[in-house]
Amino acid sequence: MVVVRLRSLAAGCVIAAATVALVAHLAASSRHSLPAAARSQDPETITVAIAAEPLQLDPHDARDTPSALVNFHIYDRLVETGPAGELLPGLAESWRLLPDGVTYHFYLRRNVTFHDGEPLDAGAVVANIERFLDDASTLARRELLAPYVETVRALDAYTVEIRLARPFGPFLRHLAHESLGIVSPRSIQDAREGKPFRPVGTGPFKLHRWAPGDRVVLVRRHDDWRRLEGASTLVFRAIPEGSGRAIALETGAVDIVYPLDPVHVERMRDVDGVAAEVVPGQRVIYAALNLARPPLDRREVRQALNLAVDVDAIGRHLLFGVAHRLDSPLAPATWGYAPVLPYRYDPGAARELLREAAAELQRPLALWSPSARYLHDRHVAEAVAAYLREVGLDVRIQLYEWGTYLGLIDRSDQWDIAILGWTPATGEAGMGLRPLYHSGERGNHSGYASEAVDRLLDEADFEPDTERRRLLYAKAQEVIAADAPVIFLYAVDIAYGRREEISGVVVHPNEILDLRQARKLPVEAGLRASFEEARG
Amino acid sequence: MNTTLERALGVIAVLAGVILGSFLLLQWLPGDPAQLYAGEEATDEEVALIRRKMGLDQPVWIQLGRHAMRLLQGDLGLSLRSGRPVREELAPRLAVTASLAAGAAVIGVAFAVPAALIVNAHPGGFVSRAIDWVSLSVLSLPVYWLGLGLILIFGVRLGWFVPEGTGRWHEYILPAIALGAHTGAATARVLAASISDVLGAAYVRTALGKGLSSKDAMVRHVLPNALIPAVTYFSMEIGKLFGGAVLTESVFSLNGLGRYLVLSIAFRDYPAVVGATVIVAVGVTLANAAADALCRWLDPRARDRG
Repeated sequence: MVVVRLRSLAAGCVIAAATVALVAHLAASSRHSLPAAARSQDPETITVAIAAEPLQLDPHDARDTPSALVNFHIYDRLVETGPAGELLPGLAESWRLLPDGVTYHFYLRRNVTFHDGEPLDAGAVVANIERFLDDASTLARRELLAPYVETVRALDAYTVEIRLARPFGPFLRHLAHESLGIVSPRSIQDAREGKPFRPVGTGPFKLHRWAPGDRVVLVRRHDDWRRLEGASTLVFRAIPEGSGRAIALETGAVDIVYPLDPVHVERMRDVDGVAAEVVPGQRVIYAALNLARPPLDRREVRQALNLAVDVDAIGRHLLFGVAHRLDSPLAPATWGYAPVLPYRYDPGAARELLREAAAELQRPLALWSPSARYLHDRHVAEAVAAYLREVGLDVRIQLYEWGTYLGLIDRSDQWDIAILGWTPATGEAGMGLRPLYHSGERGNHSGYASEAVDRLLDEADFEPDTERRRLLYAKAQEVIAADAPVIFLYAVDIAYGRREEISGVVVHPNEILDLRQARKLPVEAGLRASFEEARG
Repeated sequence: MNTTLERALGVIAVLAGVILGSFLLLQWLPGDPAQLYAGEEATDEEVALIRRKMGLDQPVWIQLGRHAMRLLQGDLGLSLRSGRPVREELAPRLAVTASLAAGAAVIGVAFAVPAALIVNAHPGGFVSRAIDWVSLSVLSLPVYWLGLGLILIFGVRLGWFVPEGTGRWHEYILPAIALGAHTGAATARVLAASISDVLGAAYVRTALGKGLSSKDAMVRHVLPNALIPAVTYFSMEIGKLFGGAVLTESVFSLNGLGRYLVLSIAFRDYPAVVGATVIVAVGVTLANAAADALCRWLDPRARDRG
């Protein structure tokens, strides 16, 4: 009896083990049904590890960076941004602003087709712009165009006229935003009829496969109008953990990791076959000061706080050298940036300015910070608090998970100092200044209201002349710097890692990884190239 | 029959509690999915637009009611974050986590049973002490630390396993070891103690006195009885395996249920969180029911009691 039971137990174990193995095998193979081309050894395939999976391949409805990254390769925009932030012709070969200051004419490139064979013509562009203007539209990026554009129409097969409701200087920057990719009119029609959106553009890559939760595979089209050359397949995989991405690069499981956590940059430089690159970014990290809470309503107190924090030391010791002290409210990589800030670390001067305020201050200052949102935000908050204590202030730190923080910071008036970050979506000064420093704007957490700044920013908004706009922004930066509604901290570099045989990677300051001309050299050729580089 | 009905009702109550609990917890947590989706750079209009699109402009009770109705029809709803059906998002991830947990369970059993037998056969021997040491060290190591160690040694240094990215079954070996080691060590200790208890029982002494070889006595009398507490303990470990999978998946970059759950909580994506929680709850309930059945099969008394 017992023996029988044991035998069947043993048999049961074997069956269970076999089932488990089978399930595991099936599960694994179902995850692996991608073309053999998606292996890292293939010279025509570049595998990229990104931090999260893309959510939305409809560019007009996408808000997350991974989607922007993938969509950048599938779609083209009327106007493109160059690596230095300059505006370049895209699907529009050229354009003209009529003397009325509100009417733009865009002259489209000929002989461009969408991946589905539809021609790119004025009608297609009009359908794209009109999609944003529809009142019932719930496109996540509607606000990039809807508030500014009054009408759009085709003047002939290759000329589009866009009339604005009022003069708007940064308009071309909005068109160059990665969400303004021009989509096939057939896809727009499908989406309007409630069918699933088909990601079809005019870009150098078309979608081959999208396995949500696993990877996106793009293949190069043969009839690319730019005739760009490079690897024929791009595979985007999500590896959320920074160390996971770094290890995948080291072992060769992936060819590029983006972003590379700064903590790994130094180490990667010592690893054979791997290169770590750092490029200037547009993200700024600052500490908003709650102007509604005395003594932060006093300008000299806020200036003193700016003198009290040794940002250089924070960048060097806490942030692996990828953070650079701000000398303007904007990062140097932002269009329209002007170096204006007079603040340098000077605890003596800060203490002097603060003597009176610190004596009056009967309560500790509440310093809020998100945890694990920005690079080492927690440690930065601790360092800032420590510097402020050095000059005689009592500071208490409160840390929050990001979702909680974002929900609280708008509603609560219990904070004095709040660590925040900002990246101007369109890569230019207007988007870097207006939301943070114009009175009544959502991102203006300090509650800063300066008539002079409001006027300068409004004027710049209406100013179509690029150079005059730049001057207006420079003036605004000067006033904001002097008023110090925030503690200006640092601009953050973008770091990425690549296998040495990968070349042709470009990172735009707006955090877009441009792989349109990326290629993988066979290993021997890669070695030769690096020898030649070393010799030359 | 009655007990079966009682249990079924119990399971339903647990699931209802899990759904209500996970939904309400997310509602009470500060943070707004629309704002998180829109990002800090969004304008008020954009956030309002996204909130309307996600159906978050409705009162909480209506959202809960609607979601409950959908769940009753077997529909897990659409993820707020991606707009895709939660069921489609969960399926591949469940396969990953189930493979991982199953692999870990197999490794746990494969370690626990021989280890417990050896420890009892040669108490104080070299191998027994080695097993004790290994078990204790594993129990005191957090799973992510063990995982990172395994990656460093076997993945990066020795290059035996590419830590991730191949998508083949051996992608699961290291994570299953990392996750299963803890279960194996703990179960081995429970089983060893239980075996040594049973060895002292009168019926075992009788069997040995009757002239049964100690091997036969072990197989026929000791093991079946000693396994009962170990199985009960192991069934409780299954729940922990799902919990541990969160960390293991992160360390090994596996796209499993655990990681999906963490991501969804960070985004306040309630349909996804409720869906994933329900799946885990069902999994743990099923594992416990299976352990119950196994125990009853091992222990005739429990079987007769019904």
